[in-house]
Amino acid sequence: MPAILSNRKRPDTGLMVLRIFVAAFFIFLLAPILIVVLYSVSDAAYTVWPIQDLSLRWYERMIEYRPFLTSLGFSFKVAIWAAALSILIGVPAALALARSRSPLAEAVTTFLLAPLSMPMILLGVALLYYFSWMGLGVSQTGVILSHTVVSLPYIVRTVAAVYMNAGKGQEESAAILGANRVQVFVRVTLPMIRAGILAGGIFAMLISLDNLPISFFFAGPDTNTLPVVMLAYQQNQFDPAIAAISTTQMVIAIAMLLVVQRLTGLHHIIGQQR
Amino acid sequence: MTMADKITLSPAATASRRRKTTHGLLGTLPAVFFLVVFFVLPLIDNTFNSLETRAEDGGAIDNYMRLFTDSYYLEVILRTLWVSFLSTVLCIVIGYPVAYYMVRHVKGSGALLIFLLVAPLMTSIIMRTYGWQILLARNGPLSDWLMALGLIDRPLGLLRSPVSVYFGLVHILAPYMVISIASVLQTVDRRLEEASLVMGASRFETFRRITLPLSTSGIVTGSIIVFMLCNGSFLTMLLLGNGSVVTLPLLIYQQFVLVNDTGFAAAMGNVLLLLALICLYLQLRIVRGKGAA
Amino acid sequence: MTNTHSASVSLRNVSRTFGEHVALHPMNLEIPAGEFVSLLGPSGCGKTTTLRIVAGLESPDDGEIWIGDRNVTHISPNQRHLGMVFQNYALFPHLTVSENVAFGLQMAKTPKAEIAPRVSRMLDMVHLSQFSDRMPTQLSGGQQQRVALARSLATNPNVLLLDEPMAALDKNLRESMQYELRQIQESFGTTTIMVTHDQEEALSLSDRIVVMNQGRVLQSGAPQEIYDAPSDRFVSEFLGASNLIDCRVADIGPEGATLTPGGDIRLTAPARPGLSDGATVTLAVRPEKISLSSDRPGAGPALPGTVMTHIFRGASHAYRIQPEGSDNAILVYEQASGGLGTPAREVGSKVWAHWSPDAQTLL
Repeated sequence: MPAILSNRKRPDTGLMVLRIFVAAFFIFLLAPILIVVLYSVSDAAYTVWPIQDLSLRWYERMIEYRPFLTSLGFSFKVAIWAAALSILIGVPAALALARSRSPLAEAVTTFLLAPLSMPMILLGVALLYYFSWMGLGVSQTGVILSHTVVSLPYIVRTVAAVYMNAGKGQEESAAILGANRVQVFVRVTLPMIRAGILAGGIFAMLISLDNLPISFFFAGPDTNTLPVVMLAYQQNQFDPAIAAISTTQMVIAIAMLLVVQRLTGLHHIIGQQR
Repeated sequence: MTMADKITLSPAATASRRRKTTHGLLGTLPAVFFLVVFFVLPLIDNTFNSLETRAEDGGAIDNYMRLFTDSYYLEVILRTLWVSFLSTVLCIVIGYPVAYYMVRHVKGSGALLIFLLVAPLMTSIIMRTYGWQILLARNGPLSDWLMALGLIDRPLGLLRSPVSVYFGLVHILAPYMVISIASVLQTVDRRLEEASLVMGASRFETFRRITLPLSTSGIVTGSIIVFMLCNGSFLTMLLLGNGSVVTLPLLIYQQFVLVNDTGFAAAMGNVLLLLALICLYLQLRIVRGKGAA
Repeated sequence: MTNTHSASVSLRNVSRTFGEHVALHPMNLEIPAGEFVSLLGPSGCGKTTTLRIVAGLESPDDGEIWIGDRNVTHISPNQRHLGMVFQNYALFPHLTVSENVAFGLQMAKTPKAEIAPRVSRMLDMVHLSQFSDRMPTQLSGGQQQRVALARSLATNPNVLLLDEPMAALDKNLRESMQYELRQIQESFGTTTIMVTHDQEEALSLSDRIVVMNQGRVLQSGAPQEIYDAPSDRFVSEFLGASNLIDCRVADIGPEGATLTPGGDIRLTAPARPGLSDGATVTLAVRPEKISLSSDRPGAGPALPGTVMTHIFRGASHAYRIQPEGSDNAILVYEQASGGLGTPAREVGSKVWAHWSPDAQTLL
């Protein structure tokens, strides 16, 4: 006992070292992101260190360079479609799996989450050739369907978790109070899982917006997503316009993430991060 | 239950029982159908592709023969595993203390740190590699600061080297490890550690004999996730390694972009698939093991 | 506010298995309208399954459920006109307190003009009028429980089902809620079935207690009856502390059976059919019904022994007595009357434990 108490009064070197280590880790984590934000407002024509003058010219360049904005628009279109399709087929699946006592349920869950465990580049190659074989090839439909394969698991997982947490009690109460199956679903089940659907949907959109390994294989005049255009720009040009568009994308993503946090708390998503 | 009991089961009751088991999973049908058509069939199609060779007299397994006999490709496969292994070890060593700190020493919910941990996951991979390109450049900030501190006397050429690839990989993967370990550490009762201290164990011994064994499952699940993600990544190798670290995914990318040998790319994809399936199997075994305990 | 809908409940030969596990052996139970019945037993005894079968949330493998003069065996829960309070209350998290209470009335297509006054009357009854616009999460456990009760009674159900309603409350709150619940139930007159594993709760609330174990009904009767005359070892042990004294039948005479717990001790009990010389029986005596004295008492069953331990319990002293010639210690509660008046008996002192013949039950 006295040993523990005296420990507390002396400066704790172990804890100090740990604090410094953790601080260093977060610097490591944030530095490459912050430096890009910094360069997005620099005036230099290429990434020269240290930064001399500040300007917003790279944001102007971002707006002037058509492919950035068109691909951003297309990325959103893909993300929204993929999330919507995933919700449409994923929510019924999540509801069934969360309450099922069938021995098959576990296997079905594993199957529906399996796309998360596949190397994206393999999915990209396989889907491209598959769609070409089907006659869809490099098409907007192809991109949307491919992204849905990856979005679906996020919806299933988030909604199933929220629904399982909610417990059966409320639905049973509603039934005993006289609600029929449709009334139970509309007035009790749906309101309870709404936050899960929204959070899962936004998360699926974020994943889709950032997807490069699949989108890359579907690159074409009207199927370029933002990350594909960014990759091409980064490999061919050296100016910090890429920093401006990156920063813009990050701001959008963080805003969406804050919405998720508001809705369900981040723990929810993190807790199940595979 | 005797035979007679079985017969007296009311028809409605048995019917409703049967309804429950089959009908229970009806809702999953659209999703299952979708994944069969757009996930399973493409992978099967890919396997057929992998059996096609460019050479006119080529045999069905030529692509695989080439992969597993040519020392260059064999090396690439082994390197892929090695890079993933090393990244996993780095993530454990770096991630564990962070997870420990977040669970044991952060007061309140730690929402800010969690946000800082997750926010990078939301930024595009292009942004992150671009950031490292700037930071690690020969005359970039890192060299500058290290020289100012007197730690090195001439600029470092880290970019386009394996070191920069590991920087990029650990940067992307470490948060997954921290999250996995933290979520298990959270369930370890602090009083177990206190009991150990009261019984006279030092803090190091308490960590080694109590905390670490109780959080192994977090390390293992985190490792599988990191290993799996690392096996599939190629953008970091492409953008930060510049050919200094060639792994399977990067080779697939090159086959696709430069050589356009689709059969061979498909075969390499299947090797990646096999690795992914092994990881998935291990993951399921561990999850199930936990359920049984 | 008397409930004119209150109905009787009848379970006829109802059974249920889950896979290999028999949750409920064929069971019969008749509950007259207006009665408050508790299903009491340890977890896994089948009491919750019984309640859920009455509610229609589980269907029985076999048998029939009647509510009033209606066979509801194959009627879905929403058609049974019941009220139910769940263990964790199951309040709708997205609805306010008054919306929760109004839910059942809305489902019953009650005219809007009638719903509002009915809801406010229900909330008055449970003293929550000022919380009507709060969300359930903003209420304490006790308040949530009262909302659940108001919600379940708002529709004047045929039967009120209570699934461990007090389990989530702390001890003090539980006692005051018990009085309130009983009072409300009596004023409504609604037939009530409560599932509980807490014997005190069952004893203080119910008109009748049904003790269950391993999917079977062991005993059914008024609280006093079950407490004083348990039908078997399990019931006796489950309802409060009990001393179970294993004896051998030494002799059966005209004035009763002579039993010996060991050594030279002789106890007498009224003979009952099926008792034979040499058989082993168990004598059950409640600790508070045993008295202690330093000298051998005149008549009635008595055991000499030694005080092993003593615990002061406020209203009483608890002694553990080791009887001579027997391995099992017996527990005795003695009133601590008159402040310093009754000094505790010393550990190690020799005493006689004795009781009235009416206080014992032969199992």
